[in-house]
Amino acid sequence: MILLLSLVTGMIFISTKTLNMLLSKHVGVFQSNVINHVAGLLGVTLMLLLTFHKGSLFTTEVFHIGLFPLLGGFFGATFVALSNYTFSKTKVLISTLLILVGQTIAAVLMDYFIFNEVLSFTSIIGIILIVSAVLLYSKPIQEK
Amino acid sequence: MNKKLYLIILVMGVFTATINGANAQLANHLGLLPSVLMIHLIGLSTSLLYFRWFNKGKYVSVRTILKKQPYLLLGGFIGSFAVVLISYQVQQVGVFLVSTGIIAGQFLASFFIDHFGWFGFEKVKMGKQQFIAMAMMSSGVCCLML
Repeated sequence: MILLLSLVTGMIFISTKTLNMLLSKHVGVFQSNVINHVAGLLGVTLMLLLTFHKGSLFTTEVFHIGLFPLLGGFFGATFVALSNYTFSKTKVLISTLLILVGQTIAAVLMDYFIFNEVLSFTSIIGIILIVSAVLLYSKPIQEK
Repeated sequence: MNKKLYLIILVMGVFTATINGANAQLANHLGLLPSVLMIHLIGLSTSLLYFRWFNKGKYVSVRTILKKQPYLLLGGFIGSFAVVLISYQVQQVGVFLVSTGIIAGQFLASFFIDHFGWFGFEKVKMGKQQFIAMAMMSSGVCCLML
Protein backbone atom coordinates (compact mmCIF):
# COMPACT_ATOMS: atom_id res chain seq x y z
CA MET A 1 0.00 0.00 0.00
CA ILE A 2 2.79 2.43 0.94
CA LEU A 3 4.66 1.63 -2.28
CA LEU A 4 1.50 2.23 -4.31
CA LEU A 5 1.29 5.61 -2.58
CA SER A 6 4.93 6.36 -3.49
CA LEU A 7 4.06 5.55 -7.11
CA VAL A 8 1.20 8.08 -6.99
CA THR A 9 3.52 10.61 -5.28
CA GLY A 10 5.99 10.20 -8.15
CA MET A 11 3.19 10.95 -10.61
CA ILE A 12 2.23 14.08 -8.61
CA PHE A 13 5.90 15.08 -8.62
CA ILE A 14 6.13 15.00 -12.41
CA SER A 15 3.05 17.28 -12.63
CA THR A 16 4.63 19.81 -10.23
CA LYS A 17 7.98 19.60 -12.04
CA THR A 18 6.24 20.23 -15.37
CA LEU A 19 4.31 23.23 -13.98
CA ASN A 20 7.49 24.66 -12.40
CA MET A 21 9.42 24.18 -15.64
CA LEU A 22 6.68 26.03 -17.58
CA LEU A 23 6.65 28.79 -14.93
CA SER A 24 10.45 29.17 -15.07
CA LYS A 25 10.18 29.81 -18.81
CA HIS A 26 8.13 32.94 -17.98
CA VAL A 27 9.86 34.24 -14.84
CA GLY A 28 13.27 32.52 -14.79
CA VAL A 29 14.45 29.65 -12.61
CA PHE A 30 15.29 31.66 -9.49
CA GLN A 31 11.99 33.58 -9.32
CA SER A 32 10.01 30.41 -10.05
CA ASN A 33 11.91 28.73 -7.19
CA VAL A 34 10.70 31.50 -4.82
CA ILE A 35 7.10 31.33 -6.14
CA ASN A 36 7.21 27.54 -5.77
CA HIS A 37 8.07 27.81 -2.05
CA VAL A 38 5.51 30.56 -1.36
CA ALA A 39 2.79 28.42 -2.99
CA GLY A 40 4.03 25.43 -0.95
CA LEU A 41 3.73 27.48 2.26
CA LEU A 42 0.12 28.29 1.33
CA GLY A 43 -0.50 24.57 0.71
CA VAL A 44 0.86 23.42 4.06
CA THR A 45 -0.97 26.26 5.88
CA LEU A 46 -4.19 25.06 4.27
CA MET A 47 -3.45 21.49 5.42
CA LEU A 48 -2.83 22.71 8.98
CA LEU A 49 -6.13 24.59 8.95
CA LEU A 50 -8.10 21.71 7.42
CA THR A 51 -6.74 19.19 9.94
CA PHE A 52 -7.42 21.59 12.88
CA HIS A 53 -3.81 21.23 14.06
CA LYS A 54 -3.81 21.98 17.78
CA GLY A 55 -0.26 21.33 19.03
CA SER A 56 2.44 23.98 18.91
CA LEU A 57 4.07 24.28 15.50
CA PHE A 58 7.67 24.72 16.60
CA THR A 59 8.86 23.47 19.93
CA THR A 60 12.28 24.11 21.46
CA GLU A 61 13.12 20.58 20.26
CA VAL A 62 14.16 22.20 16.95
CA PHE A 63 17.33 23.41 18.67
CA HIS A 64 18.27 19.91 19.87
CA ILE A 65 17.63 17.72 16.81
CA GLY A 66 20.95 18.38 15.06
CA LEU A 67 21.65 19.74 11.59
CA PHE A 68 20.70 16.78 9.34
CA PRO A 69 16.88 16.91 9.71
CA LEU A 70 16.94 20.63 8.88
CA LEU A 71 18.80 20.17 5.59
CA GLY A 72 15.81 19.01 3.47
CA GLY A 73 14.51 22.51 2.68
CA PHE A 74 18.00 23.82 1.92
CA PHE A 75 18.85 20.90 -0.41
CA GLY A 76 15.44 21.16 -2.13
CA ALA A 77 16.01 24.79 -3.10
CA THR A 78 19.63 24.07 -4.08
CA PHE A 79 18.60 21.11 -6.26
CA VAL A 80 16.49 23.40 -8.47
CA ALA A 81 19.37 25.84 -8.93
CA LEU A 82 21.83 23.06 -9.78
CA SER A 83 19.48 21.33 -12.21
CA ASN A 84 19.18 24.60 -14.11
CA TYR A 85 22.95 24.82 -14.36
CA THR A 86 23.62 21.20 -15.40
CA PHE A 87 20.65 19.87 -17.39
CA SER A 88 21.13 22.10 -20.42
CA LYS A 89 24.77 20.99 -20.66
CA THR A 90 24.49 17.20 -20.51
CA LYS A 91 22.59 14.38 -22.23
CA VAL A 92 19.38 13.20 -20.57
CA LEU A 93 20.59 9.58 -20.35
CA ILE A 94 23.82 10.50 -18.54
CA SER A 95 21.98 12.83 -16.13
CA THR A 96 19.40 10.13 -15.36
CA LEU A 97 22.07 7.49 -14.77
CA LEU A 98 24.23 9.69 -12.54
CA ILE A 99 21.25 10.86 -10.46
CA LEU A 100 20.13 7.25 -10.01
CA VAL A 101 23.64 6.17 -8.94
CA GLY A 102 23.96 9.05 -6.45
CA GLN A 103 20.46 8.51 -5.11
CA THR A 104 20.95 4.74 -4.75
CA ILE A 105 24.23 5.06 -2.84
CA ALA A 106 22.85 7.76 -0.51
CA ALA A 107 19.54 5.93 0.07
CA VAL A 108 21.22 2.58 0.91
CA LEU A 109 23.60 4.29 3.35
CA MET A 110 20.80 6.30 5.00
CA ASP A 111 18.50 3.31 5.33
CA TYR A 112 21.27 1.26 6.93
CA PHE A 113 22.77 3.87 9.26
CA ILE A 114 19.80 6.14 10.10
CA PHE A 115 16.60 4.12 9.62
CA ASN A 116 18.02 0.60 10.33
CA GLU A 117 16.26 -0.85 7.26
CA VAL A 118 17.64 -3.85 5.31
CA LEU A 119 16.62 -4.59 1.68
CA SER A 120 15.08 -7.95 0.71
CA PHE A 121 16.20 -9.98 -2.35
CA THR A 122 12.96 -9.27 -4.29
CA SER A 123 13.34 -5.54 -3.59
CA ILE A 124 16.84 -5.61 -5.12
CA ILE A 125 15.49 -7.44 -8.22
CA GLY A 126 12.66 -4.86 -8.46
CA ILE A 127 15.10 -1.96 -8.24
CA ILE A 128 17.34 -3.48 -10.98
CA LEU A 129 14.26 -3.86 -13.24
CA ILE A 130 13.14 -0.26 -12.62
CA VAL A 131 16.60 1.23 -13.25
CA SER A 132 16.97 -0.89 -16.44
CA ALA A 133 13.51 0.27 -17.60
CA VAL A 134 14.41 3.94 -17.10
CA LEU A 135 17.63 3.48 -19.11
CA LEU A 136 15.87 1.55 -21.89
CA TYR A 137 13.10 4.17 -22.08
CA SER A 138 15.58 7.07 -22.16
CA LYS A 139 17.66 5.68 -25.04
CA PRO A 140 15.61 7.14 -27.97
CA ILE A 141 15.66 10.58 -26.30
CA GLN A 142 19.44 10.55 -26.51
CA GLU A 143 19.32 9.65 -30.22
CA LYS A 144 17.20 12.75 -30.97
CA MET B 1 34.86 20.40 -17.38
CA ASN B 2 32.74 17.32 -18.03
CA LYS B 3 34.09 15.53 -14.96
CA LYS B 4 33.13 18.52 -12.79
CA LEU B 5 29.66 18.60 -14.34
CA TYR B 6 29.14 14.84 -13.83
CA LEU B 7 30.25 15.14 -10.23
CA ILE B 8 27.64 17.89 -9.67
CA ILE B 9 24.89 15.67 -11.17
CA LEU B 10 26.02 12.74 -8.99
CA VAL B 11 25.78 15.03 -5.96
CA MET B 12 22.24 16.00 -7.09
CA GLY B 13 21.30 12.30 -6.88
CA VAL B 14 22.70 12.24 -3.33
CA PHE B 15 20.61 15.38 -2.63
CA THR B 16 17.40 13.63 -3.79
CA ALA B 17 17.76 10.79 -1.29
CA THR B 18 19.07 13.13 1.43
CA ILE B 19 16.04 15.43 1.06
CA ASN B 20 13.66 12.46 1.55
CA GLY B 21 15.62 11.11 4.54
CA ALA B 22 16.13 14.48 6.25
CA ASN B 23 12.45 15.45 5.83
CA ALA B 24 11.31 12.15 7.37
CA GLN B 25 13.70 12.65 10.30
CA LEU B 26 12.31 16.15 10.87
CA ALA B 27 8.78 14.71 10.78
CA ASN B 28 9.80 12.21 13.49
CA HIS B 29 10.78 15.11 15.76
CA LEU B 30 8.19 17.81 14.98
CA GLY B 31 5.23 15.87 13.58
CA LEU B 32 4.26 15.57 9.91
CA LEU B 33 2.62 18.92 9.09
CA PRO B 34 4.79 21.20 11.31
CA SER B 35 7.87 19.59 9.74
CA VAL B 36 6.60 20.35 6.21
CA LEU B 37 5.96 23.97 7.30
CA MET B 38 9.54 24.18 8.58
CA ILE B 39 10.90 22.61 5.33
CA HIS B 40 9.11 25.24 3.25
CA LEU B 41 10.30 28.11 5.47
CA ILE B 42 13.92 26.94 5.13
CA GLY B 43 13.43 26.33 1.39
CA LEU B 44 11.90 29.80 0.92
CA SER B 45 14.79 31.48 2.78
CA THR B 46 17.31 29.59 0.64
CA SER B 47 15.49 30.34 -2.62
CA LEU B 48 15.27 34.06 -1.69
CA LEU B 49 19.03 34.11 -1.13
CA TYR B 50 19.65 32.44 -4.51
CA PHE B 51 17.24 34.91 -6.15
CA ARG B 52 19.11 37.83 -4.55
CA TRP B 53 22.56 36.48 -5.52
CA PHE B 54 22.05 34.92 -8.95
CA ASN B 55 18.97 36.48 -10.58
CA LYS B 56 20.31 38.93 -13.15
CA GLY B 57 17.84 41.79 -12.88
CA LYS B 58 14.93 39.86 -14.40
CA TYR B 59 11.69 40.14 -12.44
CA VAL B 60 8.22 39.36 -13.77
CA SER B 61 5.15 40.45 -11.80
CA VAL B 62 3.14 37.55 -10.38
CA ARG B 63 0.00 39.47 -11.43
CA THR B 64 0.98 38.97 -15.08
CA ILE B 65 1.10 35.19 -14.55
CA LEU B 66 -2.17 35.28 -12.56
CA LYS B 67 -3.92 37.00 -15.47
CA LYS B 68 -2.49 34.84 -18.28
CA GLN B 69 -1.85 31.33 -16.88
CA PRO B 70 -2.79 31.12 -13.17
CA TYR B 71 -2.46 27.32 -13.14
CA LEU B 72 1.34 27.72 -13.47
CA LEU B 73 1.40 28.90 -9.84
CA LEU B 74 -0.03 25.58 -8.64
CA GLY B 75 3.26 23.60 -8.85
CA GLY B 76 4.50 24.47 -5.35
CA PHE B 77 1.00 24.15 -3.88
CA ILE B 78 0.60 20.58 -5.17
CA GLY B 79 4.26 19.89 -4.30
CA SER B 80 3.62 20.59 -0.61
CA PHE B 81 1.15 17.67 -0.54
CA ALA B 82 3.81 15.47 -2.17
CA VAL B 83 6.33 16.44 0.55
CA VAL B 84 3.84 15.39 3.25
CA LEU B 85 3.24 12.06 1.50
CA ILE B 86 6.96 11.33 1.04
CA SER B 87 7.83 12.08 4.69
CA TYR B 88 5.03 9.77 5.80
CA GLN B 89 6.12 6.96 3.46
CA VAL B 90 9.82 7.16 4.42
CA GLN B 91 8.81 6.90 8.08
CA GLN B 92 7.03 3.64 7.20
CA VAL B 93 9.38 1.80 4.80
CA GLY B 94 12.68 3.73 4.54
CA VAL B 95 14.35 6.01 2.00
CA PHE B 96 15.43 3.50 -0.64
CA LEU B 97 12.08 1.84 -1.42
CA VAL B 98 10.21 5.16 -1.41
CA SER B 99 12.83 6.83 -3.67
CA THR B 100 12.58 3.92 -6.12
CA GLY B 101 8.76 3.99 -6.02
CA ILE B 102 8.82 7.72 -6.75
CA ILE B 103 11.14 7.15 -9.75
CA ALA B 104 8.68 4.51 -11.03
CA GLY B 105 5.75 6.93 -10.56
CA GLN B 106 7.57 9.73 -12.36
CA PHE B 107 8.40 7.33 -15.16
CA LEU B 108 4.76 6.24 -15.53
CA ALA B 109 3.53 9.86 -15.50
CA SER B 110 6.13 10.83 -18.13
CA PHE B 111 4.91 7.94 -20.29
CA PHE B 112 1.29 9.16 -20.09
CA ILE B 113 2.26 12.82 -20.67
CA ASP B 114 4.26 11.83 -23.77
CA HIS B 115 1.68 9.35 -25.05
CA PHE B 116 -1.44 11.51 -24.59
CA GLY B 117 0.17 14.96 -24.99
CA TRP B 118 -0.96 16.29 -21.59
CA PHE B 119 -0.02 19.85 -20.39
CA GLY B 120 0.08 20.95 -24.03
CA PHE B 121 3.10 18.79 -24.91
CA GLU B 122 3.36 17.27 -28.35
CA LYS B 123 2.23 13.61 -28.52
CA VAL B 124 5.14 11.17 -28.81
CA LYS B 125 4.61 7.93 -30.69
CA MET B 126 5.68 5.01 -28.48
CA GLY B 127 7.80 2.25 -30.01
CA LYS B 128 8.41 -1.38 -29.06
CA GLN B 129 11.31 -0.34 -26.82
CA GLN B 130 9.11 1.96 -24.71
CA PHE B 131 6.48 -0.74 -24.20
CA ILE B 132 9.18 -3.27 -23.15
CA ALA B 133 10.47 -0.64 -20.69
CA MET B 134 6.93 -0.18 -19.33
CA ALA B 135 6.59 -3.96 -18.82
CA MET B 136 9.96 -4.05 -17.01
CA MET B 137 8.90 -1.10 -14.87
CA SER B 138 5.60 -2.78 -13.91
CA SER B 139 7.42 -6.02 -13.03
CA GLY B 140 9.91 -4.06 -10.93
CA VAL B 141 7.12 -2.32 -9.00
CA CYS B 142 5.44 -5.73 -8.40
CA CYS B 143 8.75 -7.07 -7.00
CA LEU B 144 8.97 -4.10 -4.61
CA MET B 145 5.46 -4.81 -3.37
CA LEU B 146 6.14 -8.49 -2.56
